[in-house]
Amino acid sequence: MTAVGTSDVLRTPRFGRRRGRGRSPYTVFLIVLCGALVLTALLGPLLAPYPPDATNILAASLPPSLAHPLGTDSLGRDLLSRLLWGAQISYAAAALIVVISIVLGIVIALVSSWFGGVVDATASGVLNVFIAIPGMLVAIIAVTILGPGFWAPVLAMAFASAPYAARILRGTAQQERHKAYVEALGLSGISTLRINGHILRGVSPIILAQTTFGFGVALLEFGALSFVGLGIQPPTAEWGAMVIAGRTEMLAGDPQQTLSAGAMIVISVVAFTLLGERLQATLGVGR
Amino acid sequence: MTTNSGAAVSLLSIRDLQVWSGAGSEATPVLRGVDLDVRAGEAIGVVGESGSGKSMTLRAIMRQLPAGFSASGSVAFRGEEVSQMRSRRLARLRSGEIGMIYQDPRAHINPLWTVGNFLTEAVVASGRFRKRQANARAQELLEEVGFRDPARQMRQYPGQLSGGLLQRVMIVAALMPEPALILADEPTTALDVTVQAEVMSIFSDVIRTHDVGLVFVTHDLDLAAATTDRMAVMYAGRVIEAGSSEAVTSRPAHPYTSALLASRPSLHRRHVPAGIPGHPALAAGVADACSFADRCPFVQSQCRNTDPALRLVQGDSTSACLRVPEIREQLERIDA
Repeated sequence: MTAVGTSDVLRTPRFGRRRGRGRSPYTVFLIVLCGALVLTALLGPLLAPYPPDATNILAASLPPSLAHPLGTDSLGRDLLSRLLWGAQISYAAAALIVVISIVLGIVIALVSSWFGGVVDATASGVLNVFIAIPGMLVAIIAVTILGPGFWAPVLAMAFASAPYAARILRGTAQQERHKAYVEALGLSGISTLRINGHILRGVSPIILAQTTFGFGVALLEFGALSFVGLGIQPPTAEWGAMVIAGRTEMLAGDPQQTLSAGAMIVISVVAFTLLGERLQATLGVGR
Repeated sequence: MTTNSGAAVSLLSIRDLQVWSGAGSEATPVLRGVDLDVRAGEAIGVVGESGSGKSMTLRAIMRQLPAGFSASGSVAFRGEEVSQMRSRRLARLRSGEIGMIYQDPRAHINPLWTVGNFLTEAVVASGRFRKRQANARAQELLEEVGFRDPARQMRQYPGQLSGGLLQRVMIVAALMPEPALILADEPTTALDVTVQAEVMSIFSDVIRTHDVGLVFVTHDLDLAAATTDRMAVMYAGRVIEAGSSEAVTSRPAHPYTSALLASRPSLHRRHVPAGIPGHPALAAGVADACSFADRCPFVQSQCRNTDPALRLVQGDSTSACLRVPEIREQLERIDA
């Protein structure tokens, strides 16, 4: 009849145990790695030894050396500098995609779990329809209409991945919404908005895990869009664009550009995906 | 404020409160016409078995029925019909005028927010107090219910407090907005027996010092008698006897009350507690007959023809038994 009065002491958080499990060396390593990657992306322009677009035809296609740790591309631009500048764009794009999609997901999840009934059923139905459309396809359509660049693919992918976030968050929000304390809050005269703040706090572990996980996926997909020429356009440095730009050099025997940019994408995606999975396991939230 | 009953001003007045589960022809009754009055500063005990409608009555007062339930009848708070209140007025009633204490504090307090936040959020959000005032008041009240270091408790999380301490926090939360009435739904049932006594004595103390009206729902007849001024006994979705707590427990005016009293174990007498034969009747299963008829040792054919209304027996005691005048003496003897 109602969920009230079901005493469930077992479900109360056990901070000690969780913290203990979360602090395994493996998790710490992943957190440090991801933190270092984010820091590099933030500080990239300061760390870069050269401007990213300074060409020097006399120093073209150089192998790695002390002056150019990763060598130079066919126009003589320093690859390390381009990699560092590119990190900023790749990470900014991925972060925006994740933040927008998670925020949209949170709003949809809270609204549909709060009202339930018809609202919830409608929202779920609509979400399922959108999930059936591949995100990359949406991005390609958006780029066709709005033209390539930064914003069209970012917004398209953010909207395309919002339904996934919403579907995962909705389940957890619904559990939280039917807890006894939520009803008690309503009876103490607290506004619906504030009560949803409580619910949001309750689902925050899954938001954290989902954000981390989604960041890796977004990084990969945005890189892929730039790789096929729908995202960041040359001469701007971006990892996906660098992978494709290095293609001819690779055939000429200079694989540094493609390899270094590709390696950064792989390392970032793997690090964030593993950390996301780790957080999910540690915080006890299922996919 | 006017009262048409002529009696002392009622804080809360419930008349013929009916609650139905489901709608249309599918509807089954849960409450079959509850009458209850609470005067300012008065403590009322509502006792009865599980399923008799005690908690549902509280929910109906707060207009917080589970989905699919509907209510009719009158619930008036200070003469104002609760069912007529607009949502803003209702929020003010819930946040400031009627406080609520639940059976299981662990489930009813958000485990992720500190005690201080739990205590001050509602009163600050409703504009009743500023943050600083609310903090001061919360600490004062925490001290009143026996916390020695309120400033520290304010920073703690619910998981760091035991059930008994948490229930005291809940009592403080209910008192925070200076309400006129507190509804307590079996506030000690989830606690250890030793802790129960302690929490209950603190509870009834603060209720008296703050001059708050109380509706105290419990299974425990003795506890209700010890802490309340008046008592209402519920059975199958109705109040079947009401009166001063002293009168109800020493001179019961309904066979059910008398049977309940006889079923208690006693510290003073060696006897086997007498059970009540049969099972508690459901509100849904009663129609035009006394709901207790099937289990009543005094049942007569007339009991099966009408569902007796509450009638005045003596003083302000009321009983819903047709045969009270004849069997009164025997009822009292059962517990003698």
